[in-house]
Amino acid sequence: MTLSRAQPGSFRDPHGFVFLRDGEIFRQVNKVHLAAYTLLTDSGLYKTLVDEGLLLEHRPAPLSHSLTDEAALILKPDLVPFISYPFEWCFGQLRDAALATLRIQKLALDHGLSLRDASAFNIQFYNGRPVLIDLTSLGIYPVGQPWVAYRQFCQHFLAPLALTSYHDLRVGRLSASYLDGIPLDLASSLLPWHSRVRPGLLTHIHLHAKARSADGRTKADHSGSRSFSERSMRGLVESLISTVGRLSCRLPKDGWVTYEAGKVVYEKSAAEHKVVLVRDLVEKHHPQVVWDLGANTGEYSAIAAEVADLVISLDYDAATIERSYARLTDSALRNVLPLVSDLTNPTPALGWANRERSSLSQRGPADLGLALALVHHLAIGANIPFEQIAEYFSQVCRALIIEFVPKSDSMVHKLLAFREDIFTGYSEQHFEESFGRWFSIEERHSLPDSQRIIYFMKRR
Amino acid sequence: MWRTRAFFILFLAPVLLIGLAAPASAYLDPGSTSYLFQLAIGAILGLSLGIRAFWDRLRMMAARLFRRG
Repeated sequence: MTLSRAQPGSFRDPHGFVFLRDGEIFRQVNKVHLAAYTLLTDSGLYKTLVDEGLLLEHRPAPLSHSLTDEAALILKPDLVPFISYPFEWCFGQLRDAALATLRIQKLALDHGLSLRDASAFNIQFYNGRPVLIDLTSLGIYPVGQPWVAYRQFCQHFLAPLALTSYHDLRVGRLSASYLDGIPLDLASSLLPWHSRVRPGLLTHIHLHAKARSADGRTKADHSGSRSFSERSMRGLVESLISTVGRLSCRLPKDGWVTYEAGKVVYEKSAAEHKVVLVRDLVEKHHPQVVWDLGANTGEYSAIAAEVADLVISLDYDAATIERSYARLTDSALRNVLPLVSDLTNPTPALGWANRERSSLSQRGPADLGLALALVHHLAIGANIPFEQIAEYFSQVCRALIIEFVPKSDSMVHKLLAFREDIFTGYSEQHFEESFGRWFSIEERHSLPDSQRIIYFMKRR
Repeated sequence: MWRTRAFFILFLAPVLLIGLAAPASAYLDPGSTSYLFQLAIGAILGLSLGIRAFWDRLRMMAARLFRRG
């Protein structure tokens, strides 16, 4: 039996939507969009965008797959294996997504088209680079009209980038509270006074936020007067490119970003053995999708990526993900996606009816999870009992490589240095009992010159 | 007095005089303020494009000149 349903996050645009049919993703392009789609393909823009890696490739599919009578054609896009959201991206990822959006708009104008929206949710990371997934965003250029997506671009991209640049990497999470982008007046009030010195921010955030219509909302004039030239449109795009390009973020000089996995708390032999052991375990079990939980700057994500099709590299510390992304951009690795995610407060389901944007666990489970040098931070640092950690991990991973860190370890000493030790249940035995309820413990390896233990487990 | 007139002519009049055209095939609400704001800064944006293009050409010419030297 054919099971088709529209994707929960794809419903606002009457020009088309994405749906699932028998486990495969399709895009319905409605009749109202046919002229724009024809121009997209005939003008060469589609080929240019796909060749530059800016648009997902779409292949024709049978019209009989359509969900409604409005369908003009059905397309099958390349599958994005893991959906991520702008509030999970680091500064570098959001900046690259912004620049990709502007590059797409620039190319679109060269071919007589223009983006009908500039939502950050239209961009996904595919093979490590930002790509437009919403083909129906590209419409026929409306001659003489301002860019309909200008405010959305400023709220979705420019405002959070500017706030992160001027304040702190952690500010990026504010986007989770404002799914349609950070309101410009809020961004303007939060940015420091000296941000007005930059003409781009002065124009696109501060003055834009303060702009008021001269006599309130006016009725639309349907005469289509040529009031905003293409030259002005191109000037707007270039100004936004320049403004985004000049923003940068500063990494903190201390904290987790300076902790390179293995170099701080391990003897050399233990660190080397751990790398070999994890590599061997990943190769032996050959997972397709790996989630590296508490990944820091991604050393073990890179090891897993040698074997897996896709590695999602998660850490709550935005600075470590920033460094991880910067390293990946300079490397040949295309199958690692670093994301900012706090395991003690993972992304919930958000948006309309809490269904538009999936929670982190809804996007799993992974074939294999890596929980290396992590569990003591959850159990002691965040006071989460082993039983609950085990239960949650069993929901997000089918198998697990997990490191138990005993109380005798120097890192646990640090965690307990200024607090009362209430963790009477924190022991190797209790760890094995708790995880044994949800997983079958298949391998156990002690690290030389260390009291840490690496386990391999499979979900029951 | 003349400064107020100049300000009106340069900035406010274009906004008041030019009618809003309905955005074609746009499900997204551009916001009337963003729409009008773009109209108000349109001329400056067009000018900035020209200046940017001029500086880019100047930089390319200078680079060629120094390469030959």
